[in-house]
Amino acid sequence: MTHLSPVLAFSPEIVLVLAGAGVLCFDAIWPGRGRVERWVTLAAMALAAACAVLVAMSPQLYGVYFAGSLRVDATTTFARLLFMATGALVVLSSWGGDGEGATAEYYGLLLLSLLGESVIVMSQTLIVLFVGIEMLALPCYALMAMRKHLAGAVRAALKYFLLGTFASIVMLYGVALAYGALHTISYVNGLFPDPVTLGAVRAGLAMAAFLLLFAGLGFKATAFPFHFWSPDVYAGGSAPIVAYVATVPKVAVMLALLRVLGPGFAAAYPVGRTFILIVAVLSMVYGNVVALLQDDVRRMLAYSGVANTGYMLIAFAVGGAASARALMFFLVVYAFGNLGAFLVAMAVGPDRPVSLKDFAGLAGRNGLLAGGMAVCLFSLAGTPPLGGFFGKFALFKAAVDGGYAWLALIALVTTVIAVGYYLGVASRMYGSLVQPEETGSEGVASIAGRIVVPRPLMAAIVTCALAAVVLGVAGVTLLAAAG
Amino acid sequence: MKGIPVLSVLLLIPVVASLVVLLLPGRMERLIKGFTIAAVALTFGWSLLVLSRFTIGSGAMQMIQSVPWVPAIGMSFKLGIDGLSLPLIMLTSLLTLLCGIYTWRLDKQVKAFCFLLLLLLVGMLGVFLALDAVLFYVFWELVLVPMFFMIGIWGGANRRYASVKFFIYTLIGSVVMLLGLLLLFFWGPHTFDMQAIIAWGQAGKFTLQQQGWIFGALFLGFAVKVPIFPFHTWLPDAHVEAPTVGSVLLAGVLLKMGGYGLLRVSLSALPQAFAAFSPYLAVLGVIGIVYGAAVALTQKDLKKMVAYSSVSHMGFVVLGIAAANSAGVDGAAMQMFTHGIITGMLFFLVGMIYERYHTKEIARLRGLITAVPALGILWVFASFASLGLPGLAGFVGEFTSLMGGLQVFPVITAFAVIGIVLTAAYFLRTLQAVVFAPHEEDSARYEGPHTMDGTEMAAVAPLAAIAFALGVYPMLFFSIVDPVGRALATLVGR
Repeated sequence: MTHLSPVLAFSPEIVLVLAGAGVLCFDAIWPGRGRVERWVTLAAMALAAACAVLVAMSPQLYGVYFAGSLRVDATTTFARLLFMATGALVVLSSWGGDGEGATAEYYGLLLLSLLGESVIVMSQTLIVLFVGIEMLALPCYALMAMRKHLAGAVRAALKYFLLGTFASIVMLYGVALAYGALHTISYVNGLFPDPVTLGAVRAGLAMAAFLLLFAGLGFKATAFPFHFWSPDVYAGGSAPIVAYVATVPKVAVMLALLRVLGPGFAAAYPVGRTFILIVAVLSMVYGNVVALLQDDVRRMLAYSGVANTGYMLIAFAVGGAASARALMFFLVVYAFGNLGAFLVAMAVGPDRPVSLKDFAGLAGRNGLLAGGMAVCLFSLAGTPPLGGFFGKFALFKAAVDGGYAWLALIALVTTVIAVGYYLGVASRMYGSLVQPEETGSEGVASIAGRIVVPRPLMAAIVTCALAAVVLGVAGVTLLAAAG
Repeated sequence: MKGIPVLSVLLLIPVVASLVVLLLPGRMERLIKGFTIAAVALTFGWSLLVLSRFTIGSGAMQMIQSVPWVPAIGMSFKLGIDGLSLPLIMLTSLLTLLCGIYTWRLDKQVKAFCFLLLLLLVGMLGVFLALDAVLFYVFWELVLVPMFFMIGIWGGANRRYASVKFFIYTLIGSVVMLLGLLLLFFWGPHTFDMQAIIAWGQAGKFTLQQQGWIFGALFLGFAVKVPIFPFHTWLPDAHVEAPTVGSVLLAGVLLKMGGYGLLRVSLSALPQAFAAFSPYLAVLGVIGIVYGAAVALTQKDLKKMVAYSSVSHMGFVVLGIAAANSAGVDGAAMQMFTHGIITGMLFFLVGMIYERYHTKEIARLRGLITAVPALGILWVFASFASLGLPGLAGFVGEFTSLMGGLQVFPVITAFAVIGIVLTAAYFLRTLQAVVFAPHEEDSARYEGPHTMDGTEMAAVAPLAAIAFALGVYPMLFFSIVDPVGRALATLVGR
């Protein structure tokens, strides 16, 4: 390692900082309408991704930096690439029109929040993790409120901000307790040591710390019962930012949780494992059942997000390296499927709540849009041969492998419930393609007129759908390669 | 020809064709239809090639090809055929060819339909070809998606309800089946290679308790698909709403997947659990025979009647499988094949009748024999084939299944006779009314030509020929299946 190593190892983040700050300053000096900035943003993301690849190709750069604060490894590379890809899709999706996609602040804040996500994944101490979460959250609060003329946007942003701050405080208290119990905040080797070495009192305190930390992170990841903010915020917030907030932070938090708990947590702490199991099962059941009852599509996707967090938590309850690998694959397919679905909802109703009946006859009004939605939904539903199937399959297989066949059964059954609402959308989109629906009230109002979608947004949606297909057909091979 | 992976090509033809259809412009409907027919014809031709290379009289897996796919999770791309899967592959490719020809009549959303038809073909062939449990499951589920859209887009008035019900109902079964497959992996040889799993099971390495759990999980998936009473309630809805081609493939091929799974996985890998459970399976089979026939007798809708007749006929398949002796397995395999041929034909004919009269109500359909004589004669032929007239194919399958059943479960099987009588009753009733009864005041009117056109003839004539040929000379079929039947029978000592 030379003294230049940190600069090289963190080159993607350096690119993000320079570009994010640069875009903001540039606009302050030469106020524009965001035309240059959007290109700069995309270029910065591409450059950051290229840097991440270069880092990955020089294994000597992998390691722990800054006195055990940040770790660069394969997981970091994985996260960097996924964040840049999803970030670029969000930029594309807000390209057209003259809404939030036109201001420099939008792009600057987006870049800075991506930086926060990188920090979350790389962090190796609880304080850096906390800083990363705040670095992610603050730009997102602002982004959520940016579209002031939208009726719900400010209210959603305020709710997101207040509850998010509350969650941060809970987490911070957990950090304090963790320090008291463990006498360290570093998790270079996993945060929680063998409870035997701690003694009963400190082990109990460590559990309390775990619960608080888990609650704080669970808030960001919308795990039941910490999900309560998400349906309202998703329904009211500015559409591309909702798509972003609903997808990317969850990935970051899950990866961070993998690092904090380490592969051995579930086996060493039965109480913690039981807690994760309960949260996982409740998230799956509650999220899917309540999603089934929604009429607002973004609310439906919010609850579907709760359920998907439940599936992700299976990996933590089971523990071990195989389930971590399964989780990472699941995160990729979830990210594209979920982002795609949110983007379609945005294309159908950019400025207003989107209800199920807005999807009636969508196949006839814009075939490509409906096709993209169908692929994303079937991937989320876990239908082979799409990516979503292999993601779920890998997770459930890990569960059965770990002796949790009953958990896999619950997960499988809730998957069927989920298919209920995904199919509800699909059958509405295609039901009147050949002949009009006879069900009356529904469908008639919204059938009229072709939906025009800005090309960049359509490109983003098609990319998500293609990703779902490719991840299914070729992704299992990728999964093998990752192992 | 030596180095060509014959079975992969069989699967690849519809895959490539479906992608080509996706790229063709939607306006060029005739081109798309023509291309699709060519593609399904090529698939059928290739399946004939497979048949010609098949060593008849061997009970072993043939033409096995295996490529490691995801070694990390013990999954490979492994295909192979034996006497059990070959007839079902022939049935699949033939029925899809006829459906492709029939699709020539379609004029709405042609591109989407052709794409889905080819996708469905991939899934159906894959289920019967796969020798890897995950691959099997992938194809098993893949079948649901095109069928969901076929029912949901081109279906009748109640299509949305029917398509969602079809999908969810089958999915409940198959996710539990997936759990069963995972348990086969973990309690078994830690690979998804079905031959390895079967070898493990036949060596008696699964404990009886493990077998019981796995059998139960797999059974739910297969039972919904067959469908075995009381898991059949999705079927009438799906059939009544589905377009003609959807119904033909649903009854002709999709139902067979359940019977195939019971033989290929449950019986082969879990013989002790199967033997313990087989009396209950036989009872469910006989209930299906009698109940399906009784309900068919009360139907007012012609298509629904044929749908319930499927429940009844698949009951013979279940009975034969439950018997698990060589006559039973042979009979079940035969019944699966002939049910595909005959019920496929019945659904085609119902579709043709509906196109002419715009109703499927038995009470309003009269005088078919004078309105369209060819259609009337074919309906008479298909009805007799279906009710099991000796000399036609339906008889052979039913008779052999019953023979197998009588050897093992004489008392239970005796009740199946009720079903046979009821079957004769509902078919003769419709024959009498729909075909021969004179026109009445409130009957549906049809003023078109008195003939069937080329595509209609091409769709059903081959089926009629096969139903006749197999009825007269079933030995050809049995020589393919019997080695497998004997091998399976020894597993449970029958």
